[in-house]
Amino acid sequence: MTTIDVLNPEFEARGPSEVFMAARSIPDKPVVITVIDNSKPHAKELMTYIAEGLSDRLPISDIVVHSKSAAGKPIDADEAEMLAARSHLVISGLGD
Amino acid sequence: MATSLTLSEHDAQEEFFVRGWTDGLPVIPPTPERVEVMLAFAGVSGNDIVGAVPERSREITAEKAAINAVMAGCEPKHFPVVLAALVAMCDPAFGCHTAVTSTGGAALCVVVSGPDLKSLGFNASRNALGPGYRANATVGRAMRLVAMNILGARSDNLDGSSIGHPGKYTMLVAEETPPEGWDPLRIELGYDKSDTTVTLLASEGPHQVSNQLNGTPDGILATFAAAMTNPATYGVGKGHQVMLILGYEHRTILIEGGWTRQAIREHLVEASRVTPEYLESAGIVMEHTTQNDMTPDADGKLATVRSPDDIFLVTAGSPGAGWSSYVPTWAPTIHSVAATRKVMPAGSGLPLI
Repeated sequence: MTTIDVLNPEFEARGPSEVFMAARSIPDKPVVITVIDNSKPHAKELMTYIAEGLSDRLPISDIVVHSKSAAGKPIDADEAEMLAARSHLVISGLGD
Repeated sequence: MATSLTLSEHDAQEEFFVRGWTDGLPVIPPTPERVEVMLAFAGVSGNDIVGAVPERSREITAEKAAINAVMAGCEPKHFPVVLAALVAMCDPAFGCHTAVTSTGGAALCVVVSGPDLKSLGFNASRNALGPGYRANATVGRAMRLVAMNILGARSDNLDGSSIGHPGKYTMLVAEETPPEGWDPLRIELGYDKSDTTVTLLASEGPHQVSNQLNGTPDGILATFAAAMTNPATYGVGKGHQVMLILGYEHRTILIEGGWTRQAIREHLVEASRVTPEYLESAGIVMEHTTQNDMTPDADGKLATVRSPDDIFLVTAGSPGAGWSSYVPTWAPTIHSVAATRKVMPAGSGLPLI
């Protein structure tokens, strides 16, 4: 049987990096939640609805909606820092 | 370095299917020797970074690009074209992450413009978008295999296309040198006549445009405008980019009628403006306060393409009865714009511009 060597065409990570999950805890002070609206139709309403639903589980002082200019573009580093600075929790991730 | 497998020659093809490493068609097994020849021809080393898609934490090395180009069936002389197209794909303005994921199902449409495409084996004439030419078929296919294998754009993973189209297997347009008096696309994009360039569009499938009996420029342009304003096309009224592939009769009529490329593009920007009522009559719902705001301009109309620069004119195709092709990008320019890079000569490495 003739054999051949072939190379893997897929992306291969250079090595596993250690990842730590954020601590899971219920805050004792009211928190600010930011939701990222990807700016597709009804996205803002859906994300706000989800954030409001968390009031059963978390003490929420404010819900802030941050709208992107386009769904396909990620927020930039400055925006991310700004959101992190003003929020205790940021909810992102929305498809069609 | 890529990991390798040792397979029986007889079973290699099937193993690639089982692992989900193909587009559904057989591939050329990427042996280390074949990959090395590919890299050497382009003058790159396997570890060179061709580009990255940060949203996916993925980078494309020259080795992985070469592996997928071998699998696609490229000849080594095609690899610099693939590399240039991949660099274009990783231009942030192209929006690769979205383009290969969107439910809209875009192709990675490669447009090649150069002084001697025949020596590379590209067909720009009869059946310009059809089968039969290795260069046309395999360069476009390499792009899709890279998207699938390196970026994870597979139907069971990060390719969310609802329908897609056959251009997602491969889609390449080679520009036929325009007749005297008209510059080729690469000149219009700021490159030299001696350069070879690739322009990458995230596109819908090509729409054939027929006008066989009207011999006037006004008639031909009216037909193009009609094709460009099909309300069922997502970007109509939202400001996207389009490519018009001008077939032999249509470009001849336009050139003999004294139309310049710029004049055609300016005319079509205006002629493709649409009213909200026109779109609503086709059932389209106007969007407001969303990413694709459809508030009309002062003239009561919406732009389908906002600027002449958003229309790419390419000459291709052989004499026939009167056919052209219209290729809309899959989404408005806020999501993605075409990117162009120079194809480097053999042994010259990666393109910078």
